[in-house]
Amino acid sequence: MTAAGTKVGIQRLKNHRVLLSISLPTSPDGTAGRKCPSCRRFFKVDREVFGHPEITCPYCGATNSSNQFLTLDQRRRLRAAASRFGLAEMHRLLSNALGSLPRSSSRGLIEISIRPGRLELPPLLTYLEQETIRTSVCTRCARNASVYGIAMFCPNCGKRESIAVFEQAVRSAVAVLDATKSLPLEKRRVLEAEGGLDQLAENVLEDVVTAFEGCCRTRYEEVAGPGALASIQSSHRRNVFQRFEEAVTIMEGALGRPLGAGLSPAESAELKVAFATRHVLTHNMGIADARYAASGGVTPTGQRVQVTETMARRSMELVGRIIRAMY
Amino acid sequence: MSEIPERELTFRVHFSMRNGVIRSQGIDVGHITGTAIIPLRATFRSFPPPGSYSVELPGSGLPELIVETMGSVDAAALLATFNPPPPAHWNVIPEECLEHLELEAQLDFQSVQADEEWKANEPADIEAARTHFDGTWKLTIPFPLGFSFARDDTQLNMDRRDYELDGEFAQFVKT
Repeated sequence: MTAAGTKVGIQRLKNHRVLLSISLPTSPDGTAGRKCPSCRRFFKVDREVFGHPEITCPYCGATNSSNQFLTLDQRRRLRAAASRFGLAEMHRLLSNALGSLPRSSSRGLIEISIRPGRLELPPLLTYLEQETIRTSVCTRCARNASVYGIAMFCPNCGKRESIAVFEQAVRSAVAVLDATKSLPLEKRRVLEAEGGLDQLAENVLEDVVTAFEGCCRTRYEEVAGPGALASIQSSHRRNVFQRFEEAVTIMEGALGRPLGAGLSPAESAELKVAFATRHVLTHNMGIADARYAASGGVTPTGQRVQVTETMARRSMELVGRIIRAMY
Repeated sequence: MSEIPERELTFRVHFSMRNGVIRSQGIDVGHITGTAIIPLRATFRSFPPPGSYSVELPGSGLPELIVETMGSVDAAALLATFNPPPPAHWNVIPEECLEHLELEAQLDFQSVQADEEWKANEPADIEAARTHFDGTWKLTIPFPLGFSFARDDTQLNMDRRDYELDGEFAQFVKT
């Protein structure tokens, strides 16, 4: 961690106003903390973004004046610097005012004596910034931010990047799947028996399809414009991008190039089944139906589909390839 | 401003907070968890040479406490504890009415955080603090809510709220 200096810069302005310049501690990578005034979550930005007049929260997208994003530690340090300055000024003014008076005077019953004392200033508080765990890089402005959760917006340019949103969803899903591996065997068995592992695999598959849909919608809007998006959603259905084959055809039309390079025919067929599986999980309590069968699903109609961790991870990988082919 | 004879350093004790109960007039009105930090006054004094590191471990009380909360307060339950109640036509309950709350919680010691130079030069101080604060502590401390709320609010969201609590009237005992 990088300690901040202890010097406080003082600039006297007109109308008795004073501008104090206080250095703030940063992490070794040069980032400094910010706390969103809206969702109250913590993140870090580099020196240049820190100095911007406006900043965007990477988690909720709230944009506000940079001063509104102070962390508690930063507020404490600024307040300490201000109170140190205030006390020093008070001491200076009193010393000047009383310095011209005689050291002691006595008249009748009252005696006044003045002894210049030593000024004890309160400490200029310091702190260590939180460690950087994950850095998110904006594909548009190339700025870094240190984030501690699902981050979809760039603090610098404020943009919501569709590909980054998808990558984020995949990263979160993988982190949760991996976390179950490190559970003690006994706890993992209990979780498995309670249905937690099944639930997790199903959730990941649903999240992958949702992320694919969101990414297609945003990318389509980026390429064809908001009017075209509204038009295609009214001519097809609002959830048109939830059907894998249809979504790929629409995106190929919008991009003017085939996306086939992303997947082999067998892999496309695999994803088609994965999307159909997700559909029955969401809309039919997981019971295989005619539409699922028509998509190539192997679970007999009327039985519950089974989603394994392997299937969830494989779907993530394949969807990732097709998404990246759109950029 | 005159030159600072001492250099402030970071020396903080981190806890996780559980079973936090917010009380008004002795009645439970909210439940929180979160984190708590005791920031200790820590300095490097350059005189007499070669200088010395100094950290003030607290005696029986607490200097101050920095808390980040997760949880909620039941607004209706809180309002019902007010005696006298705020006038019926007040649609916003001012924050000054919410200054007399109390927090009782268990704090589990997590770690001691200090500057790298401190860790390198005086590791015994870190160990002493670790030994001093290790284990679970029961905390009771005044807890002014710090914000106003609308009379028709039901739950007051306490997620990720920061507090600087005055330790002067706190009770902090090892369990």
